[in-house]
Amino acid sequence: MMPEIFNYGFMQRAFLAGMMVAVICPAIGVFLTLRRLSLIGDTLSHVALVGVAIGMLIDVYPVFTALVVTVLASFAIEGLRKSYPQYAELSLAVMMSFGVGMATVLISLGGSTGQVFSFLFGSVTLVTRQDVWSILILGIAILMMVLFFYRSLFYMAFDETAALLAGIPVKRINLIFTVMVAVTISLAMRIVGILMVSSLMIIPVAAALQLEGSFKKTFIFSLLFGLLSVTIGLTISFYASLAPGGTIVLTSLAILLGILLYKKVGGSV
Amino acid sequence: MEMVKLDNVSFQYDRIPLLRGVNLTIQQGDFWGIVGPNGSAKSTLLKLMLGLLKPQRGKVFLLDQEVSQFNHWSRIGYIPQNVREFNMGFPATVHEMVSANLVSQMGLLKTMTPALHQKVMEALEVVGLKDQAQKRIGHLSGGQQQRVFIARTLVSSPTIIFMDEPLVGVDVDSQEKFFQLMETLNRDMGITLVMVSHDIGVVSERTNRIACMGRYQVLVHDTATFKPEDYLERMYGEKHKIMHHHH
Repeated sequence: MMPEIFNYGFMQRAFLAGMMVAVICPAIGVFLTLRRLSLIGDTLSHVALVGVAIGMLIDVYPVFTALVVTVLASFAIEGLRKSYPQYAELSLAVMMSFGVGMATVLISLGGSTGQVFSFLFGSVTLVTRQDVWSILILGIAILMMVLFFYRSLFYMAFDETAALLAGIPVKRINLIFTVMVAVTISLAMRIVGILMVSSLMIIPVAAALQLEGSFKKTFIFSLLFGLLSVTIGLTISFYASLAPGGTIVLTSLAILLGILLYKKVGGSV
Repeated sequence: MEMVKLDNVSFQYDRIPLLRGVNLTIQQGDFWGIVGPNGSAKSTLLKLMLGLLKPQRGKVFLLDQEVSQFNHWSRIGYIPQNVREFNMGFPATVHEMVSANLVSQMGLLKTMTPALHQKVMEALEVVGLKDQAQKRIGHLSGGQQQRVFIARTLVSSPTIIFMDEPLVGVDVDSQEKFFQLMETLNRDMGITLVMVSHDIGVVSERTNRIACMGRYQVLVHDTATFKPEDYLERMYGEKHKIMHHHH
């Protein structure tokens, strides 16, 4: 017999979409973290809110408008970065300010704040069939691209110049990767919410970075910790009637804390 | 074959001229040292040779091909400046780091074949790190890490290797091992070597051609007849004082 949790259509959809997001977030997050760009997820997710607000105003599927705005913003960040080469994180702060400011104004124009909350904090239970399909299709595309560019992204994360001299088309892959980050954020915000997207990109990776061994192991465990966080988090939130997004993020933090404590008492991982 | 050729190359950075009308040819099998004090455009010269910087005037050729059109990057090796500046907490094994250089030789799915694995192990054998293949790069000593970088370039069978200040942060013991390895690469494997260094004394003893950075110019010598003292005097003149340092 199926456990109670799967008797509900909305929970089935939540698990389907959630597990896809659980895999793509850390898969992108590994490379962001190693390139010391972990804050970019935070910035872009705030900008995604602008897209959500626009989508609601013009009555277009908000995940789609968020995607367009986030991709544009990621290019703008690259442009800004060139104006402040010595202050890499300044362009992120500027863009985040734009995102928050613009989104607030646009939301106040719309009047209805209920739907905005569902994007801010995530609303697994409100995941529609359309959401599930877009998350699954785009998610599989992202995953395949990560695997395709895996070795190049690995090399570029360590040493971009050497990667370029090894014949890797660094500029083109950087551009594609930027789009991949934007897509991932737009998809994940439906599940964990805009405020917590970057946590799911970074915390499973932070936990996996504590392990010894190869990059491959770090990569696989990042995905595994992401999956564990989402499945355990969703289950707890269902039975304890807690906010799913928050429960997922807290679960991932618990995993990280567990590993840190285990290492502290002398365990080797 | 001419490995590198600079034809009347001028380069300025932020309107400050660094090189004016430089001509230089590196022949196959040579071991070149590019020396000069800090800020004397040594690394600039290296970056021009690799096409990482574009000269305002003149042409740069790599393996008889203009560098902007160059597409045989697997034949070019490059070892970046001071390996310790890299993130040595990077979660990667020696084997992963070395095989990274094979990406452009892999098929569509970028999978490691037994033949590619064999190449990685051969490169690690040359630098004496075969038994460290599965170790994390951060767990090696500075000298060993540098040899991982050398193995990383060797894996794609280069005909020429460029090195930017490979002696910085390397202790005397590792320095000796480094030059022994360079001899193997240069004499036994026939690889042309170009290294940038501020250590004029050591480099003039070990290389066979030496390029000294002067004011906007590059002076080329055969190391057999080269006297570092003359160069230092001409370079620093009356304005500068020579600082001695011990290794």
